[in-house]
Amino acid sequence: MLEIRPIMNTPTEAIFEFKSCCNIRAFDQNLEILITNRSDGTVAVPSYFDLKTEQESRRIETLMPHGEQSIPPGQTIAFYCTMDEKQWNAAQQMVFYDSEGKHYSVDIP
Amino acid sequence: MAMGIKDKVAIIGMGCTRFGERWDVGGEELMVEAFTECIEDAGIDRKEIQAAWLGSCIDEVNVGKSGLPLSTALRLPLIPVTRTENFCASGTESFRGAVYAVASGAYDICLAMGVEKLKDTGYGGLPNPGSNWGSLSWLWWPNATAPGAFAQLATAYAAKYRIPDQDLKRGMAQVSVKSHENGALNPKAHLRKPVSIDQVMAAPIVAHPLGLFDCCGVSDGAACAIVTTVEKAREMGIKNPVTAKALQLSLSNGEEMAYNEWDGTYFMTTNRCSTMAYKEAGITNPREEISMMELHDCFSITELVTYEDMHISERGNAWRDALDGFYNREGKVPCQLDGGLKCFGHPIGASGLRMLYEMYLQLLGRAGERQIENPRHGLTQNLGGVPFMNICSIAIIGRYKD
Repeated sequence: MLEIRPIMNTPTEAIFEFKSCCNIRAFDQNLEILITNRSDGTVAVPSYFDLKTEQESRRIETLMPHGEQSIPPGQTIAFYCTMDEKQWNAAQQMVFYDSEGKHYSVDIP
Repeated sequence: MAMGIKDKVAIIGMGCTRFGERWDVGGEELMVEAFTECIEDAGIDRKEIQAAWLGSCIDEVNVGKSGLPLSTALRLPLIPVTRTENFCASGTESFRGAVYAVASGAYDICLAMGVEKLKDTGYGGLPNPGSNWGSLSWLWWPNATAPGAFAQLATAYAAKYRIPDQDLKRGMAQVSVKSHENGALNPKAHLRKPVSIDQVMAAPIVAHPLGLFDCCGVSDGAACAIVTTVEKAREMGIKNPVTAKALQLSLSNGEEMAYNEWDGTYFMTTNRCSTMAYKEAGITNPREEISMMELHDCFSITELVTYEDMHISERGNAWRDALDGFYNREGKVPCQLDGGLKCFGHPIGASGLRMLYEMYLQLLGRAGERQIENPRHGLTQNLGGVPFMNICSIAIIGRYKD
């Protein structure tokens, strides 16, 4: 079971820009997504999700960090990306997947 | 017999700019901005200032060497102006110069200014100091980076006290969460949004175990103070002025770099400097008598370990105190009430006086939403350098005879 918490207009966006001294060249990362593993085993999550409206589903693949992320039980990882405000406001659900193909969705408030 | 500085010199005015990426102004304008607030607060005329000190560290890339940037920017009346530079203690050093000058009887009214304009360098972080740190330093630690050096402090500390990784990360995260919570209430802070422990812990690693929120950034800013004798302050109608209680400085002597008796888990300088400062201020139980602190939180582990070097948290227990809320705004010894380096960034020469500015506001009951109840002693601490070679400065201020 994965718990997904999207944070649109995250304070982390400003931190990334302010602290480019850390060699993290990440600008306009206005969407932060925290994923917590509530299961007993490690779960691997690829760095993409589907953003769904009633009419369509759009795959967002521009997440940072790239590649599959392993989440040990009880731990939380973060993804960041640039998200268009209009697209976000129109969306109803975001869906993440694990490496075994199971999907985990969360309604967008 | 030396008696120390306690209650000999009063602060009658302070000023501080908004910190941040101040592309709109230069270092000179930052000094004018801080000074305008400061002199209005002091209620004196610029011509009454008899001597001044300017703290600035990386002079080649901002205001320039010498005292001239201050004397010209403020059009000071042809008075002595001395530039001080002592890494991150540069601002507090300018304050120390001004306070000692008044205490000596040489002058009645002095100005201490700290400024740094780092963002114009084009670097995200601190520029390479080149040969400015001396050839010996480069021989002893040729490839050190600031996050790397402080990350080693974190791992050594965790190993010594058998603190599990996740517990240390959580303790450090709370250090940052607490500061951002305070910074959100401060209109002069650069970063003004609160963050959660989960956000801090999940953020990218910079130098393990230090993540993005565990490291402060660089910034632009200036802060200043006008000081005089207690007698003069009273003549000006200030019945119970804020006075300097202690000013101490401690510098590494090579012991740490030799790793003979030092195990890499604390700051030898801060440990000694705080002891001397408490003695000078007449403080015997800092955990009870210090009302608030502004510590040098360049990295969260620095602040955490410094809680112990201040003799406030027991060795190996600072992370527990942090998680218990001991250093929160509502806690027993609130720390980084203005948001600290985490929210202000670290324009090196300005940071020490920026810290004193918050303590001054709190002591006068002027800190607005951040105000704590009845503060007595406010402590500031700067740490310049790296854990194995550094400069520690500590100032304690409070109301006269309190």
